[in-house]
Amino acid sequence: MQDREQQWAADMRAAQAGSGEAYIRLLDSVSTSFRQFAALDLRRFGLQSSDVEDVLQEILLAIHLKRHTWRADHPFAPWLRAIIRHKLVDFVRRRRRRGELPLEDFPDIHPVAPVEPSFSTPLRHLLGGLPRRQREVVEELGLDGASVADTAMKLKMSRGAVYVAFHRGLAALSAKFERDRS
Amino acid sequence: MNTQQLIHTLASDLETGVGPRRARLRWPRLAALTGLASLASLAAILLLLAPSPHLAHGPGATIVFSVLTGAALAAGAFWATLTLSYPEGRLGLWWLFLPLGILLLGLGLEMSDTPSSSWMVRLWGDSPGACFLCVTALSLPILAAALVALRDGAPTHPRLCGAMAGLLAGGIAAALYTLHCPENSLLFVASWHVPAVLTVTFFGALAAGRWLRW
Repeated sequence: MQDREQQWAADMRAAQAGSGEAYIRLLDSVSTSFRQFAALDLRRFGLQSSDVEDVLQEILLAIHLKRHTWRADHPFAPWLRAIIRHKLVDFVRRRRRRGELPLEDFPDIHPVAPVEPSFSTPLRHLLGGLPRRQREVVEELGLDGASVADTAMKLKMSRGAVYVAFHRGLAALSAKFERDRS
Repeated sequence: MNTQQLIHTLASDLETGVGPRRARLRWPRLAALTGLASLASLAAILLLLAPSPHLAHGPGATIVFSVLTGAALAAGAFWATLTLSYPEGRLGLWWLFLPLGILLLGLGLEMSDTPSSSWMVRLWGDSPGACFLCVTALSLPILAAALVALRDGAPTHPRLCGAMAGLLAGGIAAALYTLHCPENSLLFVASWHVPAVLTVTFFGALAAGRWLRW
């Protein structure tokens, strides 16, 4: 447990310094832990198994867009737990589940057999609402895994413009999640 | 998009380095923005309002205690606002004892110094409504500036965070307003400036509930 948290913190530190590799390792590990937690405690939070990947993706996006609020000299787990709880509560509230959720004692995540990741398409319909350029860039880079250079050439944009459109696209997606709640 | 794709998308976004990358110390930003807005409020007092008649013969007890109360409130609220702007931040209110203590001490001194028959007159003063409105109005730019700074944060209790920003703005405005306030009684300050600060606190919670969600 201690080891994993230290690994997370180390990866986040590396990610904040620009390492995509460490970032992927971190987000993968967080996803695995969340799926394990969800598999155990799903009903307690009023979630169905089909919701897990949706919530997880919102959590990952939140981690990404708020990653600058983790202070490297602070423990990582409380920061992560607060974000997960925040997004989970949001999601559950949006589903208008009734009843009090015992979120205050959000448990530490127990290791169990890994759960196979399931597929989900919550982002697909949201992508349609983005401005054309942002949508194209997010599709190219995100869905098709194209390189920035190729995307820039294909869309006849500068690499800098691709970066910016990509980042704005992600921010807009997050805002859409936000709007969908109401 | 499946989760694995999303993770790779986020990682390539990270590598582009467009967004905020490193942990940012946000206190200088919050301090700078609220400081600038405070200067605007100060300018408004100096340009639009007459200086307090009580300043002429040096700061009296009322002014000293008002400024100390406002400053202690602002300092504590600044810390609380900053703490709550991080996801894992928890609200602490122990610091409220300091401004409350200062105000109560001042009140006690004033009431022991003055006949009880004068208390109601002192409490009402000559311009209760105007002072209430002025302190509220002078707080609003500071509150707005604080909320702008907080958009950068990730408060998991946005309303509480906004309320603390309201206390911060109210504390500063109340302290600045003593430069003008024609009344010379802490009874007046406690009954009219304090409700103004609480009103701004309420506005802060209300606005943050809308603007600081993420």
